[in-house]
Amino acid sequence: MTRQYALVIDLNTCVGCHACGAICKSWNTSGQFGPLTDHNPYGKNVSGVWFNRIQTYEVGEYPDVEVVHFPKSCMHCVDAPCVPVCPTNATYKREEDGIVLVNYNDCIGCKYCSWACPYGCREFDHHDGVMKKCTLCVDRIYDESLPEEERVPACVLACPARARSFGDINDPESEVSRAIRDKMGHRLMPETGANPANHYLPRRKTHVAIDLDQVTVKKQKAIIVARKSAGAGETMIEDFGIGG
Amino acid sequence: MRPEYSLIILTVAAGAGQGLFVFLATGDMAGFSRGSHVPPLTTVIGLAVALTLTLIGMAASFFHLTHKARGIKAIRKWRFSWLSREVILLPVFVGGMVFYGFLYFMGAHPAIIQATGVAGVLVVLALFISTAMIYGHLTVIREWGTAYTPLNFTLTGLICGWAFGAALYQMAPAPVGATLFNLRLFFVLAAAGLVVKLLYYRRNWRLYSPTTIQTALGINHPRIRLMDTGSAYPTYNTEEYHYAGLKQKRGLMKGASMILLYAVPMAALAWDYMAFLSGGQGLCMAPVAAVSALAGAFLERWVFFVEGNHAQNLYYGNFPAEARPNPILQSGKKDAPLPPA
Repeated sequence: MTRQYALVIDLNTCVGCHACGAICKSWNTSGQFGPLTDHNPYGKNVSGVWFNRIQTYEVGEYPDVEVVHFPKSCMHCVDAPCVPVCPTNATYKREEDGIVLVNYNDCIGCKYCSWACPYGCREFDHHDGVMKKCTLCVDRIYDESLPEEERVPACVLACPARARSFGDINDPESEVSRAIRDKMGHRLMPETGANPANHYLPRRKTHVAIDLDQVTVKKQKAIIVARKSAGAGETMIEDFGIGG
Repeated sequence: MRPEYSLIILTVAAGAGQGLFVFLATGDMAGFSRGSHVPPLTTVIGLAVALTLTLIGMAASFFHLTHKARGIKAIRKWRFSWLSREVILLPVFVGGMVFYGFLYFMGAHPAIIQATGVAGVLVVLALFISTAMIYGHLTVIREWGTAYTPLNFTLTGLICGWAFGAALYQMAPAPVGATLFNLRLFFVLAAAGLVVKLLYYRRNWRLYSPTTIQTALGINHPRIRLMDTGSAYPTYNTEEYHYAGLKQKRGLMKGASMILLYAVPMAALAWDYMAFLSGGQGLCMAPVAAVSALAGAFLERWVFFVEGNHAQNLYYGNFPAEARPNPILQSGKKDAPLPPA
């Protein structure tokens, strides 16, 4: 099976600092696939091309509420819907590593690929008149002048919470494949059939259901008291100082 | 979706041109077979009008492209992309129409003209389907991704073409028999178009998308609220896929398009039909029908674009449950509760 490079983003640790978006803009605007044009950058009505945008959602209702930061860039879909619709073959998926790229010299600016993308991960550059998108930093990951540990997309390097990882999801032993398996990684909008390569790791909470038969009488009493005071049928392991 | 006026003009004007060609070619075939053919000059004038309409559409399509000089590259992916097929078929249609007109003008043998006409009609049908399937196969815009889209594009184009053809047959006189025959065909087409349109709107009104904010984020919770889009100003994502401008007026536009595209042309041509039947010339209302149908098709296509709701809008707070209440869910036919707004 050929390689399929992808990003795996851990929503459990993402803090929503926008560092991935900022470093993406910084690296790519001066990289081989730049510039990421800005319009009116210092005035009113700022607009510009970003490969990586971060939205923030509120899940639940007070007091049972969580804030989820959600970074989103091109998913480098296995069955990328943007590729077959492109009339000029400007958008293509590389066979060797599964990265979806745009050949700017062939793009006619019809925007059809962005209509076909379910995730809204393609951005039209009004200045250059071509469609632009995340390249998975293809100009970094094969650059032998960089130290080996830096041959990853810029967003992965920049993430202070280490919420992003990069690798080959077709290799079962890779870091990203293990993360997807061990931490229940999921895809976005599976019903669209795009089969995205990027995965997201969900919010995780460690709950342990303790059977009373498994603990001593002394602890049983403590558990019963704790359960009564908490009013819960399930006990968090952190309550007893034996996990965390 | 944001209404892209270059594409609206392309689909409407070229569609009317294609419809008018089908009108002339089929009218011609029927005329030859019944021995009451239309004067050649009338058909040549009609072909010139159809050519002008199609060229207006083609010219508008170039305004959609930012790199117009590279447009020729768009023929590469004909095996996969409907857009590529449209780019190939549109010049084929224009060339075929010019050739057809040339044969007519030179007075070629009727069999050759009719064979060219049949080929032209087949190209027109393929072109209607290619143009419509550009939108019709995009299942991420569920309002567009239906078989009603190609049906509607084809019938709308034919209605406009028939209205133009009726006007032509009355202004550059054609045999009364041919005029009456084509008027009857117009009523059939308009009725079919109206039925398809009503079924299409009914489908979209009852539309339920399996893609929700829950599947978009992969978070299983009924109450998810957007707090921050990540940008202080509108972005490509909020401007291209979501049209707030006159969206509130789309009901009005929809009503106006139905009146202009179906009611006015049908009433105008019914008036003419009755006048012809009673033997008098009456008031020639067919040009009114043609202009009205074209304006109605333009509004109809505008509504088509504005009603398209792209799946990515979910990420920007346009959650379907809030944007358009689902009548099936609300009537309690399904158990799934609506997320609280």
